[in-house]
Amino acid sequence: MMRIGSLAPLGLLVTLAGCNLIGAGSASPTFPQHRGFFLSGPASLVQGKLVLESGCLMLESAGPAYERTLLIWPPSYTPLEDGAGVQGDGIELLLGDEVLLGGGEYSDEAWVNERLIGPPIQSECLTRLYTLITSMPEDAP
Amino acid sequence: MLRGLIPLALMFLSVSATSALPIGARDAVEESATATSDDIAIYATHHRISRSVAESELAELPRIAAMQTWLSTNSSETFGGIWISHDPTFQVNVALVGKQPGHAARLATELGIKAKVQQVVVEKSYTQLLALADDLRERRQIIDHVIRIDVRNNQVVVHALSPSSYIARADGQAAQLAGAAIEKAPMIGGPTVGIYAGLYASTCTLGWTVRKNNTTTDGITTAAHCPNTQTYLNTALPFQAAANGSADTQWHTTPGFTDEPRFKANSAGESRVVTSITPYLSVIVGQTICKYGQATGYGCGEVEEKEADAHWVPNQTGRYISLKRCNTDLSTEADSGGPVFFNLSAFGIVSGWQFGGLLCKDELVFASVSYMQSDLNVTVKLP
Repeated sequence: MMRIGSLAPLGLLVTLAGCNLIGAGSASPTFPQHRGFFLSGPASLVQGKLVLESGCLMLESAGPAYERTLLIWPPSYTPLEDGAGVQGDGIELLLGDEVLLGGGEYSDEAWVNERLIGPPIQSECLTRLYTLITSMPEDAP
Repeated sequence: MLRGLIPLALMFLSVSATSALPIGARDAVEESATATSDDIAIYATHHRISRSVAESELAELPRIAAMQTWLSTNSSETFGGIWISHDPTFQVNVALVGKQPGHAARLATELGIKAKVQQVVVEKSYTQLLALADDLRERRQIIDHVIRIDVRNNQVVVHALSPSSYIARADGQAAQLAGAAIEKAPMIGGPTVGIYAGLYASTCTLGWTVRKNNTTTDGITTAAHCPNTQTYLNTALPFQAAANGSADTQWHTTPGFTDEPRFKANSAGESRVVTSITPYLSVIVGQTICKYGQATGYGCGEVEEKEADAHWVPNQTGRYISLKRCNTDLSTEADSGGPVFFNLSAFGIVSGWQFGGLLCKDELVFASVSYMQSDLNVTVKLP
């Protein structure tokens, strides 16, 4: 499996601090990105529907406990034009797609902000929980 | 078997819904279905009666069904239901609202019912019970209970997984106010299903079953960075609490499941009973420890370090343990939360992975059961 952890250093080189503001002032969504998990990472998956809310890309959880969490992307991922979705690891995700991604869910906003490339999460994108994406698994169970 | 016969008898009924006593129905039901000989034998054996008595009782069923139909159609405001009892002998019980002396007996005579008929005075009509049950079903907020009508005791009964949780909600309060009996149901929808470490929830592997300290509340763990929304067999596992720091653990209650002190130990589904825990301080660098995760399955490695840098955990303290076996991929996405063990002892749960070095596969990083217990105020369930 291609690890985002191994991509992180490369991502850091090519990602500018202003990346967190991609889409600001345009039709594209805000696109917060984290600094990656250097040669390591959480061993979990997240699942749900990719949705856009107030210009923020969210993961709408599947199942009875409806919840939307702000998605925070690896440094090598980029938003598609016109905010139609995201691409990374050679895969495109479109709004409305049901997705199963490598990543973890966190509630500690301060800790999440510390891991961001660029400024803190914009107020319109604040949620109770945040999902840090690590990869698009090729062989999810 | 008897339950199977009654609908069959009803199929052959032809009772006109008039206010007059259903004399015509008497002839109609005489020609009704006859139970097969096998059914009669089973009926006789079950009720410990002779075959001839069984045939006599079964022959009554169409007439009893006719009385039920007539009462529910023509006396819906006062009809509380009919049931057959067998102890000590075959008897037809007719529930009626208010005192109507001899009404059931007269009706039974008109219909040719020879069995003993007992008239029972009740407060609520069957129509009222049905209306209450329908109302409570419409109010249902969560599918964690079933609503039943107990015609024998003239009441609506709610069988809830957790009566206290049900009563705390608006739907439960409505049931309580309406006088429904609210009872604990050990399991809804089938036999008890066990839940234990190594099984797979929505997006992570389940860890050790635990009990909240100083309570009788049981549940199951997974990693804290796993989504709070987790399900097992399409049943939601309500999130309780999470701890980061040294624990990277959260726990969920498991309504409808039995929390078992065991863990899945290989992909063939074999499990072991967990009989002890091994605390952080007892772990030794170089010792062999095993794990089970949904993605990578069963595997073992040697303790590489006890101060792994699990920086994907908020406020982590560097008290994580890593396992390494150069040719074995010990951890990847979907493994988080899975049990880490050796023989029958619990060591911790999977947290993440880290680079295993050049030409080696990734190491597994796990949180010790010590921190899981102390930080979540729970205790791993043992037999």
